[in-house]
Amino acid sequence: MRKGPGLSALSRQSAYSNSYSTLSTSISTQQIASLTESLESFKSTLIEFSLKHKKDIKDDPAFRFQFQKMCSTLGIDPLVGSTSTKGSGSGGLWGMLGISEFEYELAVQLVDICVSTREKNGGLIRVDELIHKIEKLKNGGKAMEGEGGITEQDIIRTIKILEPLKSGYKLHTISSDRYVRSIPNELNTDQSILLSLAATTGGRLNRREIKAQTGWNDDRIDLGLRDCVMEQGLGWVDEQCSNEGGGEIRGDVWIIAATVLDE
Amino acid sequence: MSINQLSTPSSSIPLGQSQTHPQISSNGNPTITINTPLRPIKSESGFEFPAIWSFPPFFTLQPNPSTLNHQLELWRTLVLKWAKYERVFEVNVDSIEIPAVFENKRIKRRLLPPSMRRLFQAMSKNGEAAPDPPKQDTKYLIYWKKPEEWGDLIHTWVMDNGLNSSIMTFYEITDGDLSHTTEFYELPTSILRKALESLVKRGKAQLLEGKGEIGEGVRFL
Repeated sequence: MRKGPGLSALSRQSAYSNSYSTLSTSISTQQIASLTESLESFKSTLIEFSLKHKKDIKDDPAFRFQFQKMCSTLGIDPLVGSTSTKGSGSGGLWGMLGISEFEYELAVQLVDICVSTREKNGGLIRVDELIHKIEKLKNGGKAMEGEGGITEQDIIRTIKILEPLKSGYKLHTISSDRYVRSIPNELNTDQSILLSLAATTGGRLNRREIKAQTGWNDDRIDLGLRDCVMEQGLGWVDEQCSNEGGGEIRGDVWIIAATVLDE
Repeated sequence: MSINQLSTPSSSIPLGQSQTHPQISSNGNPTITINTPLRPIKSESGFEFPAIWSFPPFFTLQPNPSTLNHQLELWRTLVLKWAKYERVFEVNVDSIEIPAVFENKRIKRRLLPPSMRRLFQAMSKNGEAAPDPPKQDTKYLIYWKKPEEWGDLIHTWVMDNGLNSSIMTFYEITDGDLSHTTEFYELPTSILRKALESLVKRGKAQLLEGKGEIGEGVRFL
């Protein structure tokens, strides 16, 4: 734009710039309005979509993965957001799908505890110990008292949520105790029997007692104990017990998950 | 996977509850009862041993490498905490008098010398202990404070008390009248030397050879 000569050019100049800025404001207002509108409609479409495919999202890991990918491409975190719409309480899209923030948080904490104690217990932990540790975690190191506690039912539900991840989190009942197993490694029958024995002794497995209870021969006992210690990492060896014998593993074996440690 | 198919006497025991009192039966020895849940134990001096210290296999180094890793980590933490509490600076692995942390008399378990060696080797690797004299594996210094940390502590103390103008003997630093209330009171000479050497390296002190009856001295800068 040419300024042109003379005083009048100055006022003409300011008039031009004024009208330009008015125009630009009105254009951006329009754009924002239309953008908001399309976002609104997009949001409702997304919600509609996720509700319509609720079952698929929940049941089909591949579908859920694609859905999550789509959300992250769009910059949407399915865990936060639209609390205003449909009023499904907290938890954004997942919330609408029936996974509440509480359960999500619990799942993360459950995985945290299971993974961080794996070296010690071989990936097997008693449910009550797990609950105790999660409560401590939630409570910043102190044990929780009274209300707000986590129940066994919560853990069971959380394990179900984790199931589609195929990471092997499973609930086991051994004798009358419930355990969470966080390694997809299957326990064979003999190991399971040894665990159920350990559950009645505070964790200790002793060859003579195993023999009396199961009638297994020495080789079978040795192999079972060896697997518990070397393969699964469930058992700790006590070589200083005065029980003689043993093959590769000498002494008693303690299944640490079955021993109650008051920490 | 429910496995209650054992038709054995065990089914008459109240199942798997924490109230069960498993017996450590032993041939010949009187039976030791282990009460579960295993709880932390306070020693006479007031140090609290963690619950795992009452877990019998804790005193056997584990054959499973990943369990062993975890176990050594627990031991290292425990030994440092204990040594700090009791102000223990040196341990002799073969000593007849077993340091309290390495033996749990209630459950009749102890960490045997070969296991202790292994533990101290692991601690030395982490700078938490050191063989003293070097190149042997019986006597170890425990670094619940590292030599550099001791050095800093001594240096600050010297400066705070205006002792930097004079030359001090080793004895004056660790056993002198002024140091009674300090954390490095009765610090063994071997650790003190390492602490001072770390100060020398950083240009904060100067070591002076002893002459005749007067022992080694140090000048702080």
